[in-house]
Amino acid sequence: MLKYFIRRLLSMILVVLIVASATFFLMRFLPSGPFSREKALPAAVVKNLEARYHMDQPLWKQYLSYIGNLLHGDLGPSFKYKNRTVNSIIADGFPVSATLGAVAVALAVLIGIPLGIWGALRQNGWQDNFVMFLALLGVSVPNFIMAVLLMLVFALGLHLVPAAGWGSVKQVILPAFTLAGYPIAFIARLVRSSMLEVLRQEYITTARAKGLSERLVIFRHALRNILIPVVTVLGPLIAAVFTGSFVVEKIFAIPGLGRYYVTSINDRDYTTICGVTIFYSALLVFMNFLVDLTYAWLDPRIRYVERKVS
Amino acid sequence: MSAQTQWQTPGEGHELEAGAFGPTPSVTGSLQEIGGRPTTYWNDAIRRIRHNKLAVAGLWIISFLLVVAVIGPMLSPYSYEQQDLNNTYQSPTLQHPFGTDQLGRDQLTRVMYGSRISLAVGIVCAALNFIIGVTYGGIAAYFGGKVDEIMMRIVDILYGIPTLIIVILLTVLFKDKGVNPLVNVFIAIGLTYWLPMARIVRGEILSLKEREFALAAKTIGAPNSRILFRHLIPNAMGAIIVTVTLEIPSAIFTEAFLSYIGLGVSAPVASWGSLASDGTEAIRSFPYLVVFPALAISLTMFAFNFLGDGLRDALDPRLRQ
Repeated sequence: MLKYFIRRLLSMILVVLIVASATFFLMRFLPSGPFSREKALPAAVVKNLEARYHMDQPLWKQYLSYIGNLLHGDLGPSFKYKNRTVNSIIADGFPVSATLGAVAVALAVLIGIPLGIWGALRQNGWQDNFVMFLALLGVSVPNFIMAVLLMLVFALGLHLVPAAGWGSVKQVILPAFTLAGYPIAFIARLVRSSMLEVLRQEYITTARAKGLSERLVIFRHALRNILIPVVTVLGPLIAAVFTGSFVVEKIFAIPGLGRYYVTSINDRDYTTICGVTIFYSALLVFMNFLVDLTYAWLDPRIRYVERKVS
Repeated sequence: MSAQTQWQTPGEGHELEAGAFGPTPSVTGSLQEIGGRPTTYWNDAIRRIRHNKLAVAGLWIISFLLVVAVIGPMLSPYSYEQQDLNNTYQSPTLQHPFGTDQLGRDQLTRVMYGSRISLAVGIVCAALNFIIGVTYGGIAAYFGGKVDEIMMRIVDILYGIPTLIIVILLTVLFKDKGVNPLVNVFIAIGLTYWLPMARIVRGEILSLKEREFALAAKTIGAPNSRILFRHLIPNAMGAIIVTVTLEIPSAIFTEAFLSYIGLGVSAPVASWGSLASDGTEAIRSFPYLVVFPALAISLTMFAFNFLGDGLRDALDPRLRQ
């Protein structure tokens, strides 16, 4: 376990370093510097700006100092906002995004799993077809379309919830459901198919033969084995929730990191794009790591003593 | 039928009769009748697909979209960029079935034009999946050992990086380099979307290369490239087709997403993503502007997912029940 842990930790660091290096060099190879505006700046100003952002130094020196600062957790100043650092932007936006994301993931698990079980227990009945259709709908409708449609129906049409903004519980509902749409559908499909598989196994027959109630068979015996595949897909689903937040936060006017990210893309605020990209990558790699550890904890057969290349 | 029962069938009490030693009557004809017409893997798959109503519906929708994409914009009396400032923000009418946008452009023409872009993205994604993903996964699995280890480690590392973030980053950078935005989206998708294919093909080839027909090909001296591309990969085609069909909607989604956040096609070119984005801005007053592109994109993704699901059921023997 410890060996596996260390190995995963090293590969995590490697991935983040690769992302950081790639973003750094891609940024420096741009033909137009970040200071090129429609109105050309005087040479002296450009020179001063370059000095402020250490762009007058040789490339390898810039790279080393960027990576060095990164290791200290310093993502550098923002190009666009003179007095802000990328760190402060992340500190402002991330708590909001994390709250929204956590609600969405919770919704996905709490709705997706029961839906999947329901479908599996009524296999090929109308309930099953309904769940599967809903799931395919959830997988197929892009999040920004879902956001717009939910807003049209529930906020602008029925006036049940506010259309946009952040701060009250009511304002969380629409964006959270939008973000949860894809994960709910994904989990429901997965749970349905694993449930069908598990129900055919012998230990379920044994449990039934013992005279256990169907409720106990499903919730005590079958459910545990269904949780494992669900946990394994949580990593990619969390990634989907985070990337979904880019547009969802923009549409619902939520001051989260996703919206800052999209704004910085449109402003060509390179250090912020770079810093937030690295932050997101590190976060997702870390989430995948956590998911893998949970996986090992849930399934005693997996202890990662020796990991073969699969 | 087991061998034992076969021996016991002729006589009830195992008594030998003279007739039992006659020549065996020819039964091949009747056996074939019982078995029905011989079938192949692909015939079988087509038969199963036909029974899957949703998959057939998906196929029809995709065909319809292809037709619309090719001839739709030609039949339209308007062009996608033709402005009519006297008729901005018109509600759907007979002249403009989907209404007009903030510059008086015909929304139906723009949505039809958008289908060209979405389907082009889908086709390019599929082609790149075939070229890069299949070859990469095939080579890794076929040569195995160190080659496999190194190639797959690279895939593992790339897998760890969230695709959409990489695509966004690449698109930002290429866009500022002055690359055509659409080409740019193609490059970004091409660079990232072959990963799942590489993994799946590798898994298939790993087991296929141990089979007798691969050994036979090797024995008669077929070169590696021939064994890989003529013997192994065609046998993995079922899994490849399913993967491609399911990768296409995610590529279409990515293009729409990029256009939606302003990184995809630039005005006046219309993509479903940019149309939805423009429509969102006017959602309170003119909701129909966002509804039609939204329906178009959802329907397309629906169709590909339906078809992909049906194909998986039909082509993947492991999922047969």
